[in-house]
Amino acid sequence: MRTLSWWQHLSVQVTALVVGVLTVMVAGLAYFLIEAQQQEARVNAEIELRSGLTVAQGSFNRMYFYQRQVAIDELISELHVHPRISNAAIITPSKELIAVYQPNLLAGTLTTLLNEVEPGQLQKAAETGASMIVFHPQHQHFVAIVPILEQFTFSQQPTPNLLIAEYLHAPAWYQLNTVPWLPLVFMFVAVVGAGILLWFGLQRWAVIPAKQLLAAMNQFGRTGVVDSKQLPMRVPNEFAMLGYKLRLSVRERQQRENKLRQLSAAVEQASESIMMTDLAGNITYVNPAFTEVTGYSSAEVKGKNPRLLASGRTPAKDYQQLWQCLQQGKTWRGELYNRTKDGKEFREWATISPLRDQKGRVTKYLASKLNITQRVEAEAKLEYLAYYNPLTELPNRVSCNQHLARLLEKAEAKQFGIVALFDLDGLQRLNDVRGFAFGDLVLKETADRLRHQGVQINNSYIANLDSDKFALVLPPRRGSRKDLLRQAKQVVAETLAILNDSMLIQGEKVSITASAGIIVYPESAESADTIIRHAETAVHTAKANGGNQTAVYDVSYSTELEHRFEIERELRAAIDSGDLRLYLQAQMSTTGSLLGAEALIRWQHPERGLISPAEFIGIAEQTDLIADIGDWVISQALIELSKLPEPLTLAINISPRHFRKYGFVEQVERHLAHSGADASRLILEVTENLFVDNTADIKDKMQALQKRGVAFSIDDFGTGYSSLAYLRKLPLQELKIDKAFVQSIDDPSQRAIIDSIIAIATNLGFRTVAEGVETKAQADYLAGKDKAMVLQGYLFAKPQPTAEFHQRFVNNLN
Amino acid sequence: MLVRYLLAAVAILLAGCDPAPRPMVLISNPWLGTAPIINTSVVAPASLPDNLKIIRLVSDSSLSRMLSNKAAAGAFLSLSNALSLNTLSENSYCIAMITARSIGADAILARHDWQVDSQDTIRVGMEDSHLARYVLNQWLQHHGVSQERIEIQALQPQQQAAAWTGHKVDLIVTYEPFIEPLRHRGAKVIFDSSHPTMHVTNVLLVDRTRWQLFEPLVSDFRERTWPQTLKRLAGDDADFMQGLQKLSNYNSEQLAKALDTIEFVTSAEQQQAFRQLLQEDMPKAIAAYEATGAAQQAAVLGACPNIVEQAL
Repeated sequence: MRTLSWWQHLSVQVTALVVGVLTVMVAGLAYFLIEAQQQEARVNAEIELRSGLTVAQGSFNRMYFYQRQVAIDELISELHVHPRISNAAIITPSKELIAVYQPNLLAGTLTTLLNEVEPGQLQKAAETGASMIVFHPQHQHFVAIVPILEQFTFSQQPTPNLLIAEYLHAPAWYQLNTVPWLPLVFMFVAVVGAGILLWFGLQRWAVIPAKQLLAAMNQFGRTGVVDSKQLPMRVPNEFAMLGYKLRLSVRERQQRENKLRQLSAAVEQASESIMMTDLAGNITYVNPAFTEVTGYSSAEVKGKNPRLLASGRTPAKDYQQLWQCLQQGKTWRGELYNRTKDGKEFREWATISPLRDQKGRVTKYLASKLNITQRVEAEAKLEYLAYYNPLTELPNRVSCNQHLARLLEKAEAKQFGIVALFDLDGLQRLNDVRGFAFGDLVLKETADRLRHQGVQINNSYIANLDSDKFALVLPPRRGSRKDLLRQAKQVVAETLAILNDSMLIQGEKVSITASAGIIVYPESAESADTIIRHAETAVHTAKANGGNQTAVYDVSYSTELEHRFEIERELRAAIDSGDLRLYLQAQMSTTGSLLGAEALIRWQHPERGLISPAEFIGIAEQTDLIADIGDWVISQALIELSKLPEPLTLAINISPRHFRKYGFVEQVERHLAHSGADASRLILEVTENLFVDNTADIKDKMQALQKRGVAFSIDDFGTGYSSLAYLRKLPLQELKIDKAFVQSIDDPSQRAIIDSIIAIATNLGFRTVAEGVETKAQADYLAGKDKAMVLQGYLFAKPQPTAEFHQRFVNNLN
Repeated sequence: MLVRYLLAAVAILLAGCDPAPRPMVLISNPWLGTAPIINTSVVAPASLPDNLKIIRLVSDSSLSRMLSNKAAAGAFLSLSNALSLNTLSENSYCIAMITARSIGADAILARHDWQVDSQDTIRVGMEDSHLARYVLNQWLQHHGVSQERIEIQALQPQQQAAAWTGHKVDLIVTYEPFIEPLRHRGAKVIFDSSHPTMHVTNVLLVDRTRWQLFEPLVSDFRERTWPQTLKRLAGDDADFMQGLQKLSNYNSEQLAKALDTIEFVTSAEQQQAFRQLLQEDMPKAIAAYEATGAAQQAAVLGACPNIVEQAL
């Protein structure tokens, strides 16, 4: 029933009901009023008739008594004047006429009346002398029989005649003039008023609330919401409860719908593929994830059995367990091997559960399946990454350790195995210069060569322990240690030779050497980890010896290595703990005036005291620790420079490794800005080794700093890379004569070198600084060669803490 | 809407409750001039308007009493009696219709051997009505007889025969159909309404206060019943005439003779008759009434409203 007919509206029904009831009430009221009036009219008519006839009876009796019968006709006729008396006559009990109104006799109405009257009634009236008035509703008249005494005698019982009269009394309609209007109007108004009140009451408390509820339901049907203000919440009856319940129901439904929507969205948007089947196993629903995983659309699989996905690789027993669980009402979890629409197999972790209705009956099956193909692959990949180096695709340290452990387990007495570690020399520098991608290609090429080499050796095992560290593991076998070691050295030598062969990387021909460390096991160590560690020690030894060498592990290596490791560890801690100290050594003119200072570093070890840079700078330079130390020196030195009065300069030593670091220029600029030091009074001292390769990058950095006013000095000139070409190419301002030349100034050959250096500097317009000046003779000689030479050495001052330097030199200047 | 519906429902219910119209009762004396009307109610009651009841009383005195006590709304009676009633009731009546003129139907009868010249007291039997006094007074004036000689004996019409037979009266003032029975007993008519000095007109007198209520009935009677009655009378309708004979106790010859003394006024003649009545007869009747000494000034009777055309 979408719409209501007009008569089905509650307002119409209520109105009809009220009007109907009111109509019945009014009709009933009218009926009873009429009935009462007619009843009263009949009673009144009878009373009137009786009283009139009583008078007439007396008159007739007196006429007879006084012999005035002549007046009887007159009285009979006068009786007929009464509007309702249609007949009146005096008759005997046997209906003989004594006195009549002649026109009625002629008309026959009197005869009709007499025929109507039963003789018994006449006799009874005559005998009893009692008047009788009978209403004949069928004739709508009263018939009155009144005894009339005609004569009075002594001898006999008088037999009375009878006055018979017909008195019309029709049950007339309502006599408006007799209506008790006041009470009637009052009652009518009361009834109508009650009806109106009833109508308005029903409207207010029933019809309007019903309409509001209907409107609310329609609104809910259209929009899904209900305006609570439109609900009949204030009516004092069940409609308010209905409205409240409706609002509650709507809210609950909205909550359920929201929940259902969320659940639906969750199912629709779930990454797991969800499938629903009926009890026969026919698919009734699949979510988008299912389509995404299998390639089957919803329409393609609806009504079909899930076995269309089966690849055939899922064990039959798994299916048996699945159905057994479902038939027992339990949830089954397991792995399925299925196939996509295009035939590609995939693995799913499926959770299949029976769905129950409210009565607990299983109505459907729900399968939630997670595609674990990628996960399995990822796990495999993870496992691979755990045991292999992804770049070189060689077993990593863990694999190597495991392999070695297995070999150790199998090793028998008097069996010896060999582990040779190869560490590429200068790969770090190559990374710094060419970048890691370039370095990676070198590593891959190295790995390929090692892999190829390993293939040539029976039962060998090649691993890539770290980025540039490779291991060649030879299984234990019987034989003398000496022979095995000899053979191993031969293999290592061959391998190094292979590695030393130039390789073409990105069109560039690159030659790289490697250092090798050999260890015989299990004599040197009993665990795989220790064997590897000792091999690494041997490699470090080889590298420390200049690289491109082979070292066989010796116990002493470990001690030295431990020492270096300890220095490195403590040095790192010293940077953070403030144990490093900045010292300044004065640089003087040939006339003895202060020109500036060189910043030098000292390590104030909490236990061992002041440690010379010679002890830790070498170690630091083998790692990036030198960059951290250099950064600290620059920051502190520039603060000191900002304190030095003009035109004093400050020279800072920069390690080549530090200088090559990406961001070195920005680092210096940042410290300049932070300290406020004058860049034009800063001199960065670099060694010739800086210019070994990639001079373009070096040149760019130097020029960038030179634009800020920074000057560059070649430290230890003449002791390192002996190419003079860079002196013209690079933006240099100063040459620093190594103290070894200065202190050997008495040797003519050394003096010739000094003279040459001075000559070169003079010709190129460089300032010359001589360090290590310890005697006056040395100072005089140098001053004699170049009056502008800068002298530095113990002759003038040792390196001293900044405070002391300021006290000795700067404060005096002021 | 509800209130409108309720009012409509109540109106429908109450519309069926119109009060039954109260019947109009007209009465007459036994004069033969009103007998056709009574006869119509007997022979052809359908000719009468609904709710019109016509009763014939036995005497003028009975008629006067019924009219005076409002038992009847109107009466067929002589202009003299009407004038008397109207005067006594202080002009409570009006004339609704003129039915007939008596041209011999009212008379004074005496014995054959009775002489008016004798100075003896004249015993007159008559009804106690102004018409009877009017007739007697006209006779006295005509013969120059003093009223002191008159000894009135009230007699109802039905008593007249016995009084005549018992020689209890010398003269009887009466009217048809009581003249012929007296003749049959040896009486002779010594004066009647055909005399030039006599003007006896029969009218329908109606209670003025109830005229508005009953005017439609009277109009229906005048325009429908009365012509049909006269038509039956003129056409010698056997049933009608037979009824008329029974009412008058006359045979056909006696009836015909008696009817010859009555001039009926038709419906068409009403306006002319009223003109004559109001302009000629009424002044004479008033004069005659006042002459009897019944009242110093009679109340003038007029036509009921809407009866007489404006031209009158």
